[in-house]
Amino acid sequence: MNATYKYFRDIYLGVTTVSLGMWITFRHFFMPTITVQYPREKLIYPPRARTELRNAIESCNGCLQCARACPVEIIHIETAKAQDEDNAGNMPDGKPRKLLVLTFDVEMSKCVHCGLCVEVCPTESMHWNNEHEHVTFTREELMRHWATYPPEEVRRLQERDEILKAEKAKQAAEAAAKKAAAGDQPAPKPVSKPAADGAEKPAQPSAAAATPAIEKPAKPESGDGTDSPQKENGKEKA
Amino acid sequence: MSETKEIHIPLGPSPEKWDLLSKGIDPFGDQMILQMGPQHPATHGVLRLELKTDGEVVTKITPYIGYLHRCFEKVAESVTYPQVIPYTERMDYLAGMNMALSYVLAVEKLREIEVNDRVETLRVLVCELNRIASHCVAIGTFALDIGAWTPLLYLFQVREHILDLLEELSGARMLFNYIRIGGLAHDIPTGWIDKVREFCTYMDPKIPELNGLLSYNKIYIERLAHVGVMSQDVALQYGITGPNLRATGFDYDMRRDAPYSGYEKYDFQPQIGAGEQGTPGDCWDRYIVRVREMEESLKIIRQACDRMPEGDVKETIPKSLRKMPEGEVYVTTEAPRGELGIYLVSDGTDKPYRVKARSGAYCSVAAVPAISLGGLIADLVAIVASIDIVLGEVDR
Amino acid sequence: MIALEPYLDLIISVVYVVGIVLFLSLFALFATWLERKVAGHIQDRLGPMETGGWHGWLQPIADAIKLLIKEDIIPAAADKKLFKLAPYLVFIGSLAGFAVLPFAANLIGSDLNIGVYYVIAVTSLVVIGILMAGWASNNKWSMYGAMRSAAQMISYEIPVALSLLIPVMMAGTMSMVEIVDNQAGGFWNWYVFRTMPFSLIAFVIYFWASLAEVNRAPFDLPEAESELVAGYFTEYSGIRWAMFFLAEYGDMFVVSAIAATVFLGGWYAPFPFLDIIPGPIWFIGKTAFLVFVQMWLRWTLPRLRVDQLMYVCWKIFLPFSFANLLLVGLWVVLKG
Repeated sequence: MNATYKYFRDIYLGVTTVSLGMWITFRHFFMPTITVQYPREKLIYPPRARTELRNAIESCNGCLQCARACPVEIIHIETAKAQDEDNAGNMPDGKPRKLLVLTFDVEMSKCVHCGLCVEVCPTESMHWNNEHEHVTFTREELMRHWATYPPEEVRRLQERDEILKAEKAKQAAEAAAKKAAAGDQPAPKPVSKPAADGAEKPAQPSAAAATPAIEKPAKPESGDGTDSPQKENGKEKA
Repeated sequence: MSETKEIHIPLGPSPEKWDLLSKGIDPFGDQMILQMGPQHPATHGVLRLELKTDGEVVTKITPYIGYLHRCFEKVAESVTYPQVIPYTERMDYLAGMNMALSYVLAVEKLREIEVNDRVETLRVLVCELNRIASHCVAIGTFALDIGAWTPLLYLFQVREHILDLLEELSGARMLFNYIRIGGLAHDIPTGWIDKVREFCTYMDPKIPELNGLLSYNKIYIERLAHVGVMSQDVALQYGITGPNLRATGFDYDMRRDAPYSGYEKYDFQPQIGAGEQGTPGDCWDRYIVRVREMEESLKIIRQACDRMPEGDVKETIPKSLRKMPEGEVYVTTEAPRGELGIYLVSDGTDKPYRVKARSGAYCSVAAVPAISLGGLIADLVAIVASIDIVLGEVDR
Repeated sequence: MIALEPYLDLIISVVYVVGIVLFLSLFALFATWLERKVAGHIQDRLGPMETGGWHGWLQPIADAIKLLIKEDIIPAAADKKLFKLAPYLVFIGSLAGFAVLPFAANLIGSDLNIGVYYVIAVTSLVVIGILMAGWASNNKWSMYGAMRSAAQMISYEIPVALSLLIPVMMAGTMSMVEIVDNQAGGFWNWYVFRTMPFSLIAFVIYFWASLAEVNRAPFDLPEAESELVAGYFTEYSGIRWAMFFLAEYGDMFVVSAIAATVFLGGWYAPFPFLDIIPGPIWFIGKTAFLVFVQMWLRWTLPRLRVDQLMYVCWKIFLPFSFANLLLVGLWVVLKG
C-alpha cells in the first residue's frame, strides 16, 4: 500500500514539479534580457574601478614608494638627482623637482590590479585611467615605459649621477678623515675605537673610491657628543 | 555491485602488469581505471580523481590535488604584511572578502588593533554579500553538473548585482583588496547602502524561483537524495566544516559559536540539514543548506545596513607595519566553503615568518572517497559538486 | 529522344532524396540557431546576434563552414575504419526515417502500408552507429556513452512502439497517409483528443520516450557533458562531428514529425477553414513546435541517472502504455 502510494505520489510530483519548472522558464522568455552587446554598448565603470594603471610622469617625484608597495615587484624605476643644468622645472605643487625619473617601467602583463601602488603614491601621479581595453598583440607592448628620456640620455645622466655620488663620497670621506683626525687628539677614549677604525680606511690613498657604505658606519659615532661639533667644523671647511 | 578483488596496482607502468598483460591475463579483472580530470567538465577546476570502476559503479577513488598550487604560504613569507592580502584573495577567488578577512583579523590580533564599529559592520556586510555571490556559483555549478543549465545563468545574474556593488565599493569585481589591516581601503560611496537595500528586495523573489525551478524538482531530488551521505562521524573525522558539516545536522557555525568582527550583534539562524528528502547529510541537504544560508546572509545584510554606525574606516590603520610584535596567532573565520584558519608566526620583521592556511575545501576533498564509494559515476559527479570545492582554496 | 518513362520513378526518387537531404541540412541549421535562441532567451540572454545582421541568422552557416574546414583528427589508437564509418551510419539512420514522413497528401517519399512499423525499425539503426563510434574511438568515456545509449534507446523503443500502436489501432492502418486522413476536419478529430484521456497519455508517453530515443535532455545521458565529457563523440571533430550533430537534429525532426503525423493531424489545419494554408506548412509548423518544446525542456530540466532512466521506462511508461493499449483496444472493440 505504502509502495503504491509512493509510486503514484512520485509520478504526481514528477509531473507537477516539471510543469512548474517549465512555467518558470517560460516566463523568462518574455522577460527583458540583460545582455550588453559589448563592442557597441559599454558599461560605465564606477570611479573607483581599478582598470588600467597609468602614471602621469610629469608629476612623479621618483620616491619609489609604489615599487616598494608592489606585491609582485613589477615596477622598475631609475632616478637621478636633478642639477641646475637640467632645468628640471617644478613639480605640480610648485616645489622644484629634486629627482629626474629616468626610467619608469611597469610589466603590465604581471600586474594583479591590487591598487596598492596607487594608494601609496604621495603625488597621485599613479592612477587608473578608467579604460579597460588593454589588449595587445605582443607581450612587449605590455611592458609600459612611461619615462620620456631616450636611452643615451638615461646613460649620460646615470653616469653623471655616479660621478656626483663618488665626489660626494670623497668629500664625505675627507670630512670623516678630518673629523677622525680632530677627534683622535683630544681624548683617546676606548669608546672611540670604532671611530678610529673608520678613520684608518679613508686615510688610505684611494680615498676617492670610497663608497658611502664605508661612510655609513662612521655616522652613528657622531652621536658621541664630543664628535659632533668637530664634524660640523669639518663640513664647513669642506 | 559485484565483489571486487583487491589487486594492488602501482601507479605508472609496472613490469608485473605488463607481464600479466603479455600472458593474456587482465590484471584489472572486470575493473577499469578511469582518470577523471584534471581536464574534465565536472571537476570544478583541476582536480584529478583516479577511479576504479566496475561498469559504472565506482569501487575506488583516489583524489589527486596540486594542479593549482601557487605557493601561497611560501610567497607570504617573502612579502610584507599588507602585500599578503592580494594573495589571500586568490585562494578562494569566489569569496575574496572572506579570505582577506581571516588574514587581516590574524594580523590585527597579533598587532592588537581594535577596529571601530563601522569597520566591523562594513566587513560583515561585504563578507555576507560575498558569501551570497559564492553560494550562487556553488549552487549554479552544482545544477550544471546535474544537467540543468538555466539555474546557473539566473544565479549569475544575482551574482552580477553583488559584484557590481562590490566593484563600486572596492574597485574590483573578484579580487577586491578592500579589507586592510586595521581598517578598510575606502569608505562607502554615497548612496551605496540604498543600492544594497535595493539588491535585497531584488534578491527576495529569486530564492523561491530557484526552489520552484530546481530545489524541489522531482528529478533533481531523485538525483541527490540518499546520495553521498556524510554521517556526522565521518564529517568530524575528516575535519569538515562550514555548510558541509551543517548539512549533516551538526549545528555549528563560527559566526554564532565563536563570533568575530561583531557577528554576535546580528540575529540569524545557522541552517542545518535534516534529511528532508532523504538521509541527513546527503547531497540534497548540502544543496539546500546553501540555499537557506543565502537567505540568512540576506538577513544579516539588512541588519548591517540598518545599524551602519558612523566612524572613520581608516582610523586604526597603522602608519607603518615595519615592526611587528613577535609571536604567533591563529584565527578562524566562517568562509563560504568552511572554516578558514590562518596561523601566523611573526619574528618581529616586516614580513611574516610563517603563514599557514587551513581551508575547508581541502578537508572536503579528502572526504570524497569516504562518501562516494559504491555509487555510480553520475553520483560521484553530484558528490564532487555538492561539497563545493574551489581548487584554488584546496591547493593554495 | 530517350524515353524517360521507365526511369521516371527513379528520377523522382532521386530528386526527392536530394530534396530531403537539403531540407534536413537546412532544418538542422535552423534548429541549431533556434536552440541557441531558445536557450538564450530562457536564460535572459540574447544568443548569437552578430553574424548576418538580424539576430545572428547566419551564425549556423558560419559554424558549418568552420566545421567543414576544421582539422579532422583521428586518434592514433582508434579503429580507423569503424571510426570513419560510424557518423555516416548514424546519419543514414536518421535520414531513412524521412522516407515515410507525409509532408502533404502526395508529398511523401513512400507511402508504405507499414509506415509506422518502418519508422520504429529504421530509427533503431542509429544504435549501431553510436555503439560503433563509442567502440572505435578507443576512449573510456566514449565507451560509457555508447553503452548508455544502447541500453537507453533499446529500452525506450518499447514505450514508443506501444504508444504509437494506439493511433494505429484507432485508424486500423499503419500507413502514414491513411492515419492522417482519418484525422481530417478540425483539431477535435486529431487522435490526441479522441478517446480522451487515453490518447493524450499515449501522446505524452510517446513524446517523453522519444526524447530518450534522440538522446535529448532530460535523457541526454549518452552525451552527458558533466559526466562523460561528450559521450560517444568525445573523440570526433570537424565534419565527422558535424554528421553526428546533423543526425541529432534530424532525429529530433523525425520523432516530432511522427508525433505530429499520428497524434496531431499531420498536414491538416486545426480548423477546416484554415486548410487554405498549404499542408506542408502546417506539418512543418507542428513539428517545429514540438522541436521547440524539446528545446524548452532541455533548458529547464536536470538530467536523470542511469537507473532512474530505466525505472522511468520499465516501471512507469511501460505499465501505463500497456494499460492504455488495453483500454483503447476495448474502446475500439465496443465502438465497433
